[in-house]
Amino acid sequence: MELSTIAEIKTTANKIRENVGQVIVGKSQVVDLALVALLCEGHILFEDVPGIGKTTMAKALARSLGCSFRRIQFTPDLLPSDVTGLSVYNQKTQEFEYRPGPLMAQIVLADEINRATPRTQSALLEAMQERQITVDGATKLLPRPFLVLATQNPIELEGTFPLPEAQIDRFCMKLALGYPSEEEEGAILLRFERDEPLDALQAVVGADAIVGMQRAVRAVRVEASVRAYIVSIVRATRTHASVELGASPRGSLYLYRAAQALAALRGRDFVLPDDIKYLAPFVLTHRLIISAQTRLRGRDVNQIIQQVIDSVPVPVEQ
Amino acid sequence: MFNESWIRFAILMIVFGALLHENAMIVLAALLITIIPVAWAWNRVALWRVSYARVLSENRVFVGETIDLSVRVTNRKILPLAWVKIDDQFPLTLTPENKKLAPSHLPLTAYLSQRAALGWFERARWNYRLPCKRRGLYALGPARLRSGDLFGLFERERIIPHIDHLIVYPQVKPMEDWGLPPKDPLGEVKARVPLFDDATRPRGVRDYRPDDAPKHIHWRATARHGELQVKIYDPTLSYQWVLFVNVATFAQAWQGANSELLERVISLAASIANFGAEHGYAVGLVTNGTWPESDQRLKILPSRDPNHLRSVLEALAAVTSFVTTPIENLLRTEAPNLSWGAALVIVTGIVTEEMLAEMLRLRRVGRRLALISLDETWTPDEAELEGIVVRQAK
Repeated sequence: MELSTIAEIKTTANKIRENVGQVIVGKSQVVDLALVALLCEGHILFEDVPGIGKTTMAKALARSLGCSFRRIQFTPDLLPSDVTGLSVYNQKTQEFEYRPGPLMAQIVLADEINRATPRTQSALLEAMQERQITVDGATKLLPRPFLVLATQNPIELEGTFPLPEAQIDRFCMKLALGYPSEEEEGAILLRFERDEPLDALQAVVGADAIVGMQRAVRAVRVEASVRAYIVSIVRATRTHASVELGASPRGSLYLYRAAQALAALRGRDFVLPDDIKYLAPFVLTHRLIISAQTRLRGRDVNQIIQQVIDSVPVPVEQ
Repeated sequence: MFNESWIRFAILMIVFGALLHENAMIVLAALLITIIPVAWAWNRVALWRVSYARVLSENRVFVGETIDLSVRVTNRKILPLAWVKIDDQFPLTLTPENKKLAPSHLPLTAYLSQRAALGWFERARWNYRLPCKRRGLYALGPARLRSGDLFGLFERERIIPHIDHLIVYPQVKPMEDWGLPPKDPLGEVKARVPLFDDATRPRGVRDYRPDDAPKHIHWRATARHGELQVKIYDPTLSYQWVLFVNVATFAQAWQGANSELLERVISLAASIANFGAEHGYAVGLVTNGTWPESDQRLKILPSRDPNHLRSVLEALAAVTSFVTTPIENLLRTEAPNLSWGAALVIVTGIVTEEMLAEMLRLRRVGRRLALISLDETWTPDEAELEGIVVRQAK
């Protein structure tokens, strides 16, 4: 892979980062991880308490990318056809006509995804994995790039439904924004004092450029030992005593691709074990189901992932 | 204990020694004058950069489990510690296997005491096995560190305020161990709380009305009938149990508490909560007992949060035998605040007429109720309690 391509990716990523930074105060790590997900063709799930800026972050990212954008507000009465589109009977022509749903966009913001029933949430399954939808037996391809940015409230909040395992596994990463620091919160008040900075945000990169970067990232080199390291980490999640359901092979694949994207963003054409260690909590945490006993003992999935990372030997140069 | 008056005493000794030409007295006094400032300065810095920590292998365990406790004191300076004594405040019911606790003036409390001498940059560590025999919310600490100079003239004390918490959950047993049906302990009491129409559970179609949302139109049925048809749906349901735990073990509060029966009631409630959570019920808890050192009743509303069982078991670990109100009063005041479809499960060690009367009243107004009793002296009258699921646990 040419280093000039890597440099281009880095430059473009910086532009997007700066653009999003006009709206979002701080949270540079989250923006970087979102870019990683974008470059490795993964989808992102933002989970945090209301009012943290999940939706604003998703919208700022979408606007910066210059792609077609649709937002779906998930509510308990949302139907799968509200997401995918539906065939409407035209009494004049006496034929069914397909009316596309909001999923027919390049960037889809699925806001508060866990407010809809699990079966409606599952309407996204085919779209997220295969980048196509099937309505009334007819398969329709989705535009490229296709990115789902979903936000959800923590599951303990009333009126929420947990995402089905198959659905949650399709997200490349689960990110949390967390509360801003004191200085950041002050800066937020100042920034939003008079205007809505989101309204003025312009796209800094086009859809074709993103598709090109996604292709280029796939060429980032991963040594056999690093590849084995990914596999070892993922397999260790399946055998950990506190885990009921470990990470899937899809999890391994996303970790692999995310590491390639992160290496490119950091200006490298090869992946380091440190990239894997850094990304593993973001890529794997949401795929694990820990046992009830583990929960009762006050341990959470982040601690389990950390234990797994600590337990797997890191490959070293011979 | 040495203090400044000893210096005055030493000066007097020199004066008298000089007047009386007693060289030994002068030497002794001079020695005192030399040692005391050294000892005083030593004592001033004895506990500087000295830390104390406890490490528990688990912070949340079940009754009957044993955990590892490691305590360590570290001297992070060049000056050695001639001696250091640590008195760590411990609950009396948490006695290490291989160590006796020292008595304390505080009720239900004792001290885990250690004594050591530490060189420069040295650490001493003691390891214990801690059997958790009783449920509870335990606080370990604060610890009191005492040290002094090499000569034993002065002493210093420092309190380490850090407290470690240990939660010992009540024992959780399978339903069959309580003599309850293992698959369906509450029988027909399953209550369903309709949340809203579930768009993914269509029940049928009907004619379109002007206030119907267009998205509910069933286009295939419309094409078939030649008229607009809309789908109708079944509601999404939620299953809720609210455990009413009666901590009273005698009919009258002044009769005191039967601690053995109370522990069984708490353990039974924990077992039912665990069963409910494992089988997808949203479990809540209301009890007439209180938080430790408080007069506040415990109340946890049902929730589907995966960590909710932990909250329920924590509350059951903490609940005391202090009865704030009879269970029938609690049922009367709390039932109206709960979802109509929620099943009210009364877990009790005693059954009283007043309790049964209130349950029957709630049954008459349409509440779903279950009574799980550990009262061996009571025989249920099935005809009288018709419509209420009654189980006698063992």
